[in-house]
Amino acid sequence: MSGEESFDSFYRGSRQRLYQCVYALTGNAAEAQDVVHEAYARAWQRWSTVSGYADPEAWVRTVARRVAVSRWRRARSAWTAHRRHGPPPDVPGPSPDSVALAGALAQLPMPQRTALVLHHLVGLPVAEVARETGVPEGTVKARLSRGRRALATLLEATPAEAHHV
Amino acid sequence: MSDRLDAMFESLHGERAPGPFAPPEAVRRRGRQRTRHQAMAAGLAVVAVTGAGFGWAGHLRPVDPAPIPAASGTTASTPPASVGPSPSGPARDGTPSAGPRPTGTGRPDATPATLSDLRLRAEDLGPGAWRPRPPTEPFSGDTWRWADLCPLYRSADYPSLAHQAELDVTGFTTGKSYLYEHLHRYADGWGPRAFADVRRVVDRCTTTATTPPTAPGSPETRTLVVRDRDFAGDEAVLVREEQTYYEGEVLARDPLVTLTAAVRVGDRVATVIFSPDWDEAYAREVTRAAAQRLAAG
Repeated sequence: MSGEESFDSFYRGSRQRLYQCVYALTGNAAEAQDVVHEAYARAWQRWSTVSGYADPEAWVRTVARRVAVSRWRRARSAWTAHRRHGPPPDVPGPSPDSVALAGALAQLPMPQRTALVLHHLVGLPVAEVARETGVPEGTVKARLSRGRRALATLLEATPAEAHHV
Repeated sequence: MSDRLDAMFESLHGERAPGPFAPPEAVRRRGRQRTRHQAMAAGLAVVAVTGAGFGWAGHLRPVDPAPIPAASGTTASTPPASVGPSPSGPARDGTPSAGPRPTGTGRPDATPATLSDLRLRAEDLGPGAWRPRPPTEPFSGDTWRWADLCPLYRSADYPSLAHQAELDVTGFTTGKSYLYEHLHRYADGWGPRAFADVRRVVDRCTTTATTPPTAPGSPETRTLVVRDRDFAGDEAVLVREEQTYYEGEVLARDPLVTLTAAVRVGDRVATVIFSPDWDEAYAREVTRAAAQRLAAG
């Protein structure tokens, strides 16, 4: 299989999973899709190397998270302003549960959010989350524990807040 | 995790992108464009640096570099023959260092190494198929390992944090084990105060008697014990951290052990994190190697 063929096959087979992960991290569908395209473009730049990795998808996921975090940091001020006025209205499509979860995730610190998404959405074991994010396993466990508690609180609060709107 | 959270994460699996994904050819084209832009940017950077160099040479007189007021007395040009604890002598446990010998780098005296030159390398780590595994998000909040270590932690208690001048990170993995190194350079003269802050946060968060968590989801128990001090560099500390936690619905039989060593050489501090379940003697050896790398800068 040529390089182009193997890349195309890899891209088609994994892009949806990566999109879900980045969407959960960013809470913004359009942004997530662009981050996914950017991450695969970078993978193609180094495809001769990346394709030899045991898990190229992990590499692309890490790149996508970096791109997303970088953009997220740049946009954080704007995002904070948006949040004062409620969630952005131009995100059609996702189910109510997904919107609620993405909205709750967006209120967590990025490290907790990342741990939750990689563990509960991508399905990585704690040890793999630790390796992929570069922190000790104990830190991942702590982030998961705190993140789950915070998520539960945020999601429980959602219906009550909706009544006040 | 509750059933509701489970179901909500499951719902994300079905989410579709707002529009069709770009065809593979378009993604590859975007990758090629990035390559071209990067090459162009690199070329422009070379031109700019070269131009700046000529400008400096033509218009400025070189200035004698001021010595760095480091408490250890180390300078960029004269790495110490030994980076053991003061007074210099064999390590407390007599373990020979596994680290590199500090050698002259041929670097001009006035040009101190950047932190990326001073990272641990795979050959410092002893036998094993070590592979680079740099951390991608090593910090949450304050940019050091000790952030949010315990409920008593408050950023304002550690004034040296505001004087971190440079930061670099690296990491390696072999099998199921891994280690990470965080390197900080502090503003001139702030190294000793930075290490005093390390001691302060460790002392503050050290607990001797804790009770295990009582149910899944309850706060994990974290116990810190200082295992050694001043075994490398100008000053050092080795901390053993045990976390008791639930694996699903069952309390894990063994705590998760993480060793963290911090070592200071002048105004540079290396923090090396070993996880999981490393041997303390090994941690000391690698920490000495880290100190030697710092001293060679």
